[in-house]
Amino acid sequence: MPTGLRERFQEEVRRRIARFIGSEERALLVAGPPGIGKTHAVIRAVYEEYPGKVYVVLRTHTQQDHYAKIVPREDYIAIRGIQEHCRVREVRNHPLAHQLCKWMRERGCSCGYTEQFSEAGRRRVVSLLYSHLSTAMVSLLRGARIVVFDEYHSLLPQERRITYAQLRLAEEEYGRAIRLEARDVLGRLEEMRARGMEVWAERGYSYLLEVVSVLEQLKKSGSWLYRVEGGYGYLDIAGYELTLKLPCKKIFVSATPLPRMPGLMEYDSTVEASPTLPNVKVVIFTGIELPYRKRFDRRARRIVNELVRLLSMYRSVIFLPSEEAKRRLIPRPAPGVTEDVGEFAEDPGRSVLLIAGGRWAEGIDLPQPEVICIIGVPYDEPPFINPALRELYRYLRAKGLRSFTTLYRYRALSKTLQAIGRGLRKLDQRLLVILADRRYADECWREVAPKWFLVQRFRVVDDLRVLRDYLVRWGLGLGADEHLERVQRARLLKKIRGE
Amino acid sequence: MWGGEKALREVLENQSPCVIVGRTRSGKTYTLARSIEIMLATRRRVIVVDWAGQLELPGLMHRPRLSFKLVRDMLPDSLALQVASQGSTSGTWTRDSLFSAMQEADSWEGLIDSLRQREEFPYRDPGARAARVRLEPLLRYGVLTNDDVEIGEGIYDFSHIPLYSRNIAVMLFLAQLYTTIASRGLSDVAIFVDEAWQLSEDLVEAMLNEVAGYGVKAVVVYQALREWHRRFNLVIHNIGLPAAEVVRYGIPPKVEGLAVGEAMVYNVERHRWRKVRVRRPQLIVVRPKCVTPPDGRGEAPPRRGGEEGEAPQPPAQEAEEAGGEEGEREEIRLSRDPRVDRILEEHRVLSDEIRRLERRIEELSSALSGILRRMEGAGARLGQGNDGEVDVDRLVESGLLIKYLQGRYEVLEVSGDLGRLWGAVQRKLKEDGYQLVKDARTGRWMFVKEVY
Repeated sequence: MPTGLRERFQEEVRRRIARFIGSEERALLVAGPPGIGKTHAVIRAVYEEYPGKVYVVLRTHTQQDHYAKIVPREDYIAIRGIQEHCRVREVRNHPLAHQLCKWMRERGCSCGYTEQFSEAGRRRVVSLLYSHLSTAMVSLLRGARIVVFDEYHSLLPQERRITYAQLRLAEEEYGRAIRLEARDVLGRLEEMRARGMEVWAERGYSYLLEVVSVLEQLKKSGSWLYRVEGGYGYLDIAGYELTLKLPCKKIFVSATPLPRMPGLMEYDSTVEASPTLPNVKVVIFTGIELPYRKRFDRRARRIVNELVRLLSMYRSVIFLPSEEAKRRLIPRPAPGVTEDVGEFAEDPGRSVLLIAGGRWAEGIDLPQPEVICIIGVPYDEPPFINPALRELYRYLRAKGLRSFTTLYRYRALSKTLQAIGRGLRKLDQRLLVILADRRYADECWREVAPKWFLVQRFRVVDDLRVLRDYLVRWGLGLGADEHLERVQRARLLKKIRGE
Repeated sequence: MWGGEKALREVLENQSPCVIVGRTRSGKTYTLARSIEIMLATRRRVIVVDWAGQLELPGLMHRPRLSFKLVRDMLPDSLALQVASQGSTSGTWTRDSLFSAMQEADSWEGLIDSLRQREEFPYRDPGARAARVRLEPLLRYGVLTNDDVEIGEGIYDFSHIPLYSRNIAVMLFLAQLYTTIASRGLSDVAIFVDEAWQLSEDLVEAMLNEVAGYGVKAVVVYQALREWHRRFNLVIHNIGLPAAEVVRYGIPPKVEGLAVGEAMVYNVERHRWRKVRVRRPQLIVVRPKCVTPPDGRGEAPPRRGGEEGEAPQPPAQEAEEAGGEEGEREEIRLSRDPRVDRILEEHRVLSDEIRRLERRIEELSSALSGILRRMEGAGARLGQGNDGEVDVDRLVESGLLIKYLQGRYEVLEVSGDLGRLWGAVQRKLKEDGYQLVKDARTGRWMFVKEVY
């Protein structure tokens, strides 16, 4: 690692943020590899260079707690949901907890949940979660001057659902059938709302009111519901657009920045660190290709299992594109391979199988893996299978996103890089990254990949035996690269000579 | 891959069974251990019957379990064969008694009770007694189980079982293995049986013939050659005075001069004899034989499976304390630890690297000696026609003078400036203790050194 890279980057971030605050610019992008200290640099710089209030939007409670270590406690508050504060179990566990909470507040109930909002007015740094942006809490941001979006790659319209059970309860309250497929329901919204309010005033919650608020939101955004298993789904576009159109300065921080989308995601300036990580080796294994249709392929299954068996010799984190792919390709994991992260953390001899883009693929640090392997490219499901994605792409296209494939690829690469980031916590860490799919060797990634990823040195291996030798030699520190070059040169010469 | 063991590797990789023969302390067990390592490196699963607890491979150690369900069909014949080979009691009686007792029993305990009843009533039945006394210790030592058993890869240590029951246990274990191979399609496996001469020869011979048909490799260890060994691959160590065997079995006379660790290998598929020197095993630890007291309950040496320093316990009690059924299953289903694979792979890569470096050193040294030879030749040619003396003028012309001199002499200084050379000579002489003095009388200069 070049000496002081981290410090130089943090100094650069401070300088650029100071300039950004004093300028007319509206959006700044801060990007860099995991472990370079983006979060720390940005929040320290904003806190020290800007005397006013700063809002930070984060993914998890753990990240909120982490901020308490960077900013002085007396200046920081983490906004939490009802479930974290409410002392009444019935309210805490209710599916319409926000309605019940409001009903009880009107009757004199108070707790930390309401107090935190008044407290937020006195603190300089206020953090909230991305999930709060689709609730009334988003109103906190209305008067903001600076908002920092950390790990902002998850800032895309999210899917929400109305289940059949909720709909039945709403119909019961309304006393009539609510046919969501027919848009004539929009003409009766006022009537439904009035009935919903009556029920709410009486019971403290109303499913009808919840359905009405969703329909009003959809009416406003011009989108509609689609059928999903067990109910109806819709994209929460309102919360997303409200966030992006906030009239304030926005700082976006991510290891995998979203591509520029005119009108939606644009940056006035960028601070990007792209160091070559000296101890991280990236190998693309092209001996396998796992598109969606090949998840039943016998040869693919054999190679994947052989690869997993090979990786199980090391402390590996193995990511697969989906649960289905895992079930189909690796019905019985090799000895020493677990699917339980807790077991992996406790036993240093274990490897773990996870899903790229799943709950363990982001926001956690996996303890000291030697190898991270992503088997297959974790593309989203094809849009004809996943209606939420179909709606998302339709929405983005309507907003002027020219290339469908750009976002499709971006989302796959983002999952890949986030998966790598689970094990890469320091710039000088020793780590082997194996991207096991021929498609990783395609040029198309250049347009969506962040700079820091492109500057790494890639090795391409097409034979599992060569990969095995590379892996073992890397483990032993025995000239893995030189050996690979020797082998590949010999094979090339053989090919040229027609042997 | 294994250097001088190519012939051994070939006989292990072909499908025909293999017999390792040799007298005591001829290196049989080391060859067995080495063969296991070779098979592990080829990624075949190995099941090893360790008669005397001599082999140790961390992560792959098991205690044997015999399932009533799996052994049931083969029990009468197997036990009868063993009884017949052990003593004067008739094997037929044992077979008949077992066969009828099996009709009533559905567990090991039931079978032993049934045999006990038959010993005296309705008539005295020595066959039933012979079977019971051999099975009872196995039950006591927790070897027998009524549950299903999965045979995992690894070394099965029989040394904790008393000697008089051990061969029965091994034989029944092999019967169970055979049932598993035949009924459950367990293939791509190599079976190694140490001290196979302790078992009924008919049974071992039948097993070798049978399992080969299922794609299973079998390797057995004997102390002396038998007639039927000639149909299999052979690894013959020192077998004592071999004259009779040379004539009788047609083995090469070279077998007489074999040192410890050396063997003659016969590849039955290629009809070829080769002499090999078997390397010491790298991963498997070979220990001295374990001493088990006659009743099997006394002070056994600390075993690898348990914690060292713990008081030894009868196996049945251990199994109970390990959590009953769950504990047993856990132990039986142990698979190969991936770390063992890692060690094997690292060992392979390091061996490759060492060989590559050795080859490189050889190349460099031959290149160097070639250069030296060419220089010598050039020097010799330059000196031709001058009685072997070097013609300096020709050397200078050819530009080889300095190289020639550097190859043959210690060169003090190379320079085109005579004054610089003179300075170097003066320094050298001073280092050697000479002083430059002037004779005032004659006016000449001289180098002088004090002599004691």
